[in-house]
This record gives sequence, C-alpha cells and structure tokens, in this order.
Amino acid sequence: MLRISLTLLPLIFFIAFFAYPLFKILIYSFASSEDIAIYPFAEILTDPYYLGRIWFTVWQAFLSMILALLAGLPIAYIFSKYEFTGKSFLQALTTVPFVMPTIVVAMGFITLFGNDGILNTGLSKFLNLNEPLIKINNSLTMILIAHTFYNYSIIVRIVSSIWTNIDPELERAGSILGANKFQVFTKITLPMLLPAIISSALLAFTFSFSSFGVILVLAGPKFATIEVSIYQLAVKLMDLPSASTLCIIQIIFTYSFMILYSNLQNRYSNWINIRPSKNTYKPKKNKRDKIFIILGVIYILILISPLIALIARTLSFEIGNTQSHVSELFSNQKGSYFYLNPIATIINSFKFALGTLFISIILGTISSYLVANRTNRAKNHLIDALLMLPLGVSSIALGLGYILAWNTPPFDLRGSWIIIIIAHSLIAYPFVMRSVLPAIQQINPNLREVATLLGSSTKKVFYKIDLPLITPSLIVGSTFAFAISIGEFGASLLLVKPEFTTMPVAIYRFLGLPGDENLKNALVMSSILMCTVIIGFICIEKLRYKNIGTF
Amino acid sequence: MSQLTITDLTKSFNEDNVVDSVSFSVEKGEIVCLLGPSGCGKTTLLRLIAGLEQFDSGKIIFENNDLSKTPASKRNFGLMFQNLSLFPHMNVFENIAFGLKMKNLSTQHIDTQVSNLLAMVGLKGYSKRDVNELSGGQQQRIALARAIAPSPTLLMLDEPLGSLDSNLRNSLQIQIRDIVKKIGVTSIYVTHDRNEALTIADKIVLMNNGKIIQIGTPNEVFQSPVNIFAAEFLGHQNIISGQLQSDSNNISFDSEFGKVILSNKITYDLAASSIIIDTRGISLFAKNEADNIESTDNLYECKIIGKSFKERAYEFKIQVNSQILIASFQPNYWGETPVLDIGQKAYVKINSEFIYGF
Repeated sequence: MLRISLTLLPLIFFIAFFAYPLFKILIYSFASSEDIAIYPFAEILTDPYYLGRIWFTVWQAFLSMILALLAGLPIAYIFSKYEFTGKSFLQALTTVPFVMPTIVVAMGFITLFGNDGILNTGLSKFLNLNEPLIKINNSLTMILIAHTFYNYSIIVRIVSSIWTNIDPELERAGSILGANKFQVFTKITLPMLLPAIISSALLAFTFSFSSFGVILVLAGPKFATIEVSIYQLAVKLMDLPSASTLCIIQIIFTYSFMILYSNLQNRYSNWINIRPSKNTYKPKKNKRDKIFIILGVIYILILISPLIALIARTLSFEIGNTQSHVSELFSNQKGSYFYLNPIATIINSFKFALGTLFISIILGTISSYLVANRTNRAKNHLIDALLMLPLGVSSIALGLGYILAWNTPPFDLRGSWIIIIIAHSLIAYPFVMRSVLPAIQQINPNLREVATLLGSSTKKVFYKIDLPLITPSLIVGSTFAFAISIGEFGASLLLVKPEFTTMPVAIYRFLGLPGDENLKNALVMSSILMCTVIIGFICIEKLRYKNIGTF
Repeated sequence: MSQLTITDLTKSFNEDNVVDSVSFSVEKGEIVCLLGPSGCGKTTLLRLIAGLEQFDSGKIIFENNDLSKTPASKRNFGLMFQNLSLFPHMNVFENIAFGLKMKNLSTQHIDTQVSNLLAMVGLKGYSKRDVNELSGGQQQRIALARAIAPSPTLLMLDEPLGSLDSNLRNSLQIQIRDIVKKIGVTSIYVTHDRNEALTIADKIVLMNNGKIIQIGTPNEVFQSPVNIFAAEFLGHQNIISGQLQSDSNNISFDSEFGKVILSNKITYDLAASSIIIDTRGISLFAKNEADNIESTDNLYECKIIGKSFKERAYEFKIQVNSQILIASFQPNYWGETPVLDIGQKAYVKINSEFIYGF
C-alpha cells in the first residue's frame, strides 16, 4: 500500500505539473485560429518577425557554441594533461559559472562591461574620455560573451573528464607504430575526444538556445530570442495563444537536441578505454609548459572576472559610504509602490529554496528507485527518459503552462507560493535524480540481502543500508535543488505575486527602476545570491572529490 | 529426521525451470555442497532456501517447520556471498555486529561476541579497520564472521571464494571448513569448482539444468559418477563408451580401441555403457622398452599426439586407434624426463584396477 502510493506520488506530480500544463499549451496554441488546427503554426512560421526571432535564436546559439569551444578546449587540455598546485581549486572555480543564477551573471556583466561599468569608468579616467570606450550594452557581443562565460565550463567539464582518462598507452602505441605528434593527435586522441566535444558543444548550443535571463537583462527587446518573445507575448502583450504556439516550436527544437545528445551519449559511452586519471597526468616539464599553465590560470581568472567585478563593486559601495549599504538594504523603509522589501525577498527565496529542496529530494529519490528497481532494461530507459523530460522544457514554458493550466478555482494556483515551489521542484528534481540514481544503482543488491538475512525488515534495510550509502549523493542533489530554486528566474518572473518576490526577480525589478539606489540594491542582492550559491557548491566539490556524483 | 528437507522444489523464470523438482535433505551439522556449472540453478536453489526468492511449488521443511510463511529476515540463517558484500559504510566491528544489533542484544554481549569471532577468523585487533582497506581474503573472513555472528541455524555460502586467487582459495577452503565444523552449524555451500566441493563437503549435490544429477559423499561422487555429465564435471578425462561383455572367466569392455579386460575385484553394472579409465591406471612404454612389459593384457599400440606439463606431471595425449586418451608421467627427483615425444609410436598398458564402469 505504502509502496503503491510512493510510486504514484511522482507520477501524479509529473502528470499534474508537467504533462497537463504542456498539454494546455498545445491546446492554446491551436486555439488562436478558428479555421484549421495547423494554421497558427503556419502564421508564426510565415511571419517575418517571428521567423527572424527563430533565426536569430539559432544563429546566436551557434555563435555561442563556437565561442564556448574556443574558450573551453584549451582549459580542458591543461586540466587533462597537467598536474599543478591549486589545480583542484581552479577546477572548482570553472564550475562556478555553470551553477550561477543567470541574473547574477547578467549583473556581473553589467558591472564589468556596462556603459557605467568598472572597465569603462576605469578606462575613461585613465584616458580622460567623456564617453564610454566599450559600448556593448544591448548588443549581440554582450550576449555572446555572457553565453561563453556560461558554456565554457560545460566544455571543460565534459571534455576534460574524457581526456584525463584516455589511456596514455594508446597514444604511446601510436607513436611506437610510427605516428608523429600531429598524427597521434589527429588519428588517436581526437577521434576519442570527438564524441565528448560534440556532445558538450550540443549542450552549450541547447543552453544558449533557450537562454532567457541573460538576454532579457543584457540585450533588451531588440535581440529577443524565442524564449524572450514568449515572455513578451505572454506578459506584455497578453497574447497567450501566440505565446503557446511559439512555446511548442521551442519545445520541438529542444527535444530534438536532447534526442541527438542522448543518442550520442549512448553510442559512444562504451568504447573509450578509461584509465584511472592518476596514470595519465604529465608533470609540468619545461618552461613552455609552465608558461602555458600560467596563461591558462590567467585565462580562467579573466573568464570569471564579471563575478569578481560584482563583488568588488558591492564592496566599493561598502567602503565608500559612511553608512554600510548592506545595513541600509535591510533598514530602508520607503513607502514607494515599487519598493521591494529586501529582507522579505531574501526570506522568500530561502523559503522557496528549502521547499524545493524538500519536494525535489522526495520526488527525485522515489523516481530513482522507480527506475533502479526494474529489471526490464528497455522499460527502465523509457521511464528514465520520461522523468528527464522536464529538463528540456524552458522555465518560461513551464510558467506559461501553469498560468494556462491552473487558473480556475478551487485550483487557481496562479500567484500562490505553492506554485513557485512546484515549478522550481519540477526543474530541480531531474538533477536530484541524476545524482541519486547512479548511487542507488551502485549499491550491491547482495548487501540488502545479507542485511535481510541478518534480521532486518525492508524498512530497516532502507534506513541501515540504502540511506547511508546514498546520503552523499542526496546532499549533492539537495545542493543543486537549492541552488536551482534560489537562482531560478524565468518561471518565477511569470508566476510570482509582489509579496512573494524572490531575489532574482527583485534584482530584475531593481534594474528596471531608475536611480543609483536601485542599482545598489540590485548589486548587493546579486552578491548575496552569488555567495549563497558558491558556499553550497564548495560543499559539493568537497564531496565530488570523494568520487561521488558527477555531473 | 533431517534438519532440512526439500521436496519437489520448482522455480521458473520466464517459463524456464531454473530449479526443477529438486529434492534432498541436510542433516544437522553437515556441510552440503551444491555443485554444478554456472546457470545450473544452484544459486537460485540457495536463494529459495534463504527466502530471497519465492518458489513456485514444492516444500522446504526446516526443523519440522514449513518455511514458506517465514520471511527471510525471520529465518535466522546466515549468508555469505562471492563478491565483496561487506557494508562499505561500516567498519569491521559494525559489520560483524550488524546481525547481533538486529537481535537487540546488549552492547557488552555484542562486544565479547565480536572479539571472539575476530579471534576465530584470525583477525584479532581489526575491529576498528575500514572494511574497504582489507585484502580480499580478509574481507571474506570478516564476511564469514558476520554470517555466523548471530548463531544462525543454517549457514549458506554462495561461491564465497569465487573472487580470490587460487592459492588463497585453497587455504581459505580449509579455514572455512574448520570454523564451520568447530561451531557445528549446518551449511550449504554453493560452488562450481569441483576441487572446492571435494575439499569442503560432507555431501555433494551435483546439479545440471535445474535438476539434481547425483547426491553422495565426495568420494562416491568422484569415484562413481552416475553419467557422462557427472564424470566430465568431476574432471575425469578418459571416458569411453562401448559395451560390457561378460563370460565365465572374466568381464571385458568392447570399445573403439579394442577389448579391455576388467578387474574382477570391482563390481560392474552389466548394463554399463561407459567406462572411466583413471590417468593413474595408464602406463606408457617406448617401443624399445617392450621387453619390460610383463603381460600383454590390456596392452595396445598408440601414437603420442600431445605432451604438456601440468602441476607435477607430464600429460600425454595419446591415440589408440581412433580413441584419444590422456596419460600422465610423473618424473622423479633424479632428473628423469620422459623419453617419449610427440609423433612417436609407443605401447600403452591399462591397469584394470583403475577402471570404473557406469
């Protein structure tokens, strides 16, 4: 009985808060025309404006992907081939962008490269200019740099994890058989790396394709992608049917990428000769290698400079002001309509994040057991793939779906706090699953059997054997869930009522308001958000090096 | 009355009878080996007895109780696996104490019990060790201690030494048998290794394709296999098919390579259609040694077609007419080497006291 209800829990959640909203979007997308069902698609796909938006989305994603490869591959090489002091710290540092909330990254870029940013103020002072030298506010360049900042860490992580573990004997065997260095690389190393390079590039492409916060904040309406257009249609123009149609188009795109990605993963996951990485490191040998490593380190520091800029700017306010701005943030009591209570916002965010952590851990763990307990492999893959589907749906689509699906009493969840936690949990639980499922699958079933024969009931076996063994992965999963919730922007923007404003939404609102005061508020809040996430992931990195849960 | 009686036990997966109406019994204090090739159903049979799988039909009676209603956790059986199945998140002490804690015994009692067990398996002072840092042999000894800690009424061992190298296996086989005999627990030991079974068992249950082929003491099963499968599985190499002939003077066996006169000291089933010639009963003579041969009984011409060195003897593959036999030659310490080599013709003499018929 308990088992059945536990099984039903994630399924009901999945149907109610994923399948049903998506279905509603589909219905609405057809509802925009009375003639034939396919008409709205034809309308959007022949409208030069939307065609332009779709084309731009693909184009910027492609450029972002290329830039991410250019930025990521050299670092992947250094991490794979050299051992040096501070390497694990640098590796941890490269993960930072990947987990950073979009709004924080956007703030970082504004602080560093914006017209009034640190770089421009510095250069103007130095060169005595009246105008900012770097004018990339609201430009494609800004989008591309921000995406590169995000995506290079995916490339580094995926490519270096394979590159580190390629058996060096294979390369040696190649050179013994007469291949020169270039041939060894092109004929042996590169073919083995290619699947990793392609799949990481595909991920970078997909992320850029459905990027929302970065584009909304940094580029403005002129550079709207499909995602931003959906938001504009839904919120600004109240044209829900067209937004839905665009949503469906977007989902078709992302699912095609996901299918392509998982096919690649399945095809290449087995044939790479993996060696424990200890055997593959090359110690730094000569001057050239050392210079190479130093350049790499500088390069990484440049890549995370927007975050450093953000902190520096926040601190400079602190030092420059007689009254601490942080304390001001917490004490400001203006009566303005637009006034957002920062403390309430922070408390909201933490409440939602804790709620998300709780729900997604439960959902993620039960779902993992659903997949792990089955003996039928084909069916397993199906359930696994099904439960992973939320990964491919953008948060804007999700928010839109909830507005369309849960808007009639007694189930009018629009603007309620519960719907925000649900949205965040739906986005977060696949990450929990990705962390917990491998841990469950690694548990030797004999352990449970031995414990049973030694007198443990099913419940005791779970508490004494399973739970301790999956705890590290649960911690990793919870940190992800917490970080995802606290930084989530798109769905929150569509769903929150003013009294439930979260930090990312507040930062966006502050940015939209005039005056230095609001910019400072945005800065301080971004720094708080960033520190929260970083602290969480420092904990994960500690666990990661015990070889638990890799992403 | 036997302690454990299994009657007509059947279990199928996907309509394939993995355990096919199996019946046997185990006496108190006995070590029974379930022996057979992989996939023969021996592990499934063990899991049915343990209660880890449900059987389709049949009966398992343990000390006059029908076990079908008793869950695995309430049977008070011990279990030890092949792969390293120590709880990785507990140290040596916690692993061994696990079953004792499940019985809610006092801390003091658990402490003494665990240190006694550690002494018994020869790992005194290891109680605070991380199990992941122990060697394979040590891990298996801890696993044994953990299995016997709650004083189980039946100990089950599923290829417990399967993952260890052969030298370690040999020494642990003896240790396990000694410990099990010392505490007197009834045991069922699953293995595919005939030598392990012969070393450890009081009684061997030989299985194939889900069915029991033969039950007997190690000596009975080895010396008197009931069919060709049993003979081959127990390592007999010279299995010859043919027909038993008996006249007033003696019994003989007609086979492809000729007539073999059998010893009248051994009782043969007159319907026997196969004989085993033990390698110990085959002697080879070079052509020029023909004078040394006392009688021409069971003497044949042969051709040497293979020669290799195994364990402590040369093994010759010889061909007598179309029949291939394996003979062995044990060199002495004074530098004796066989004069025979591949391709040569020779004489082979078969000692009738090393022939078993079935």
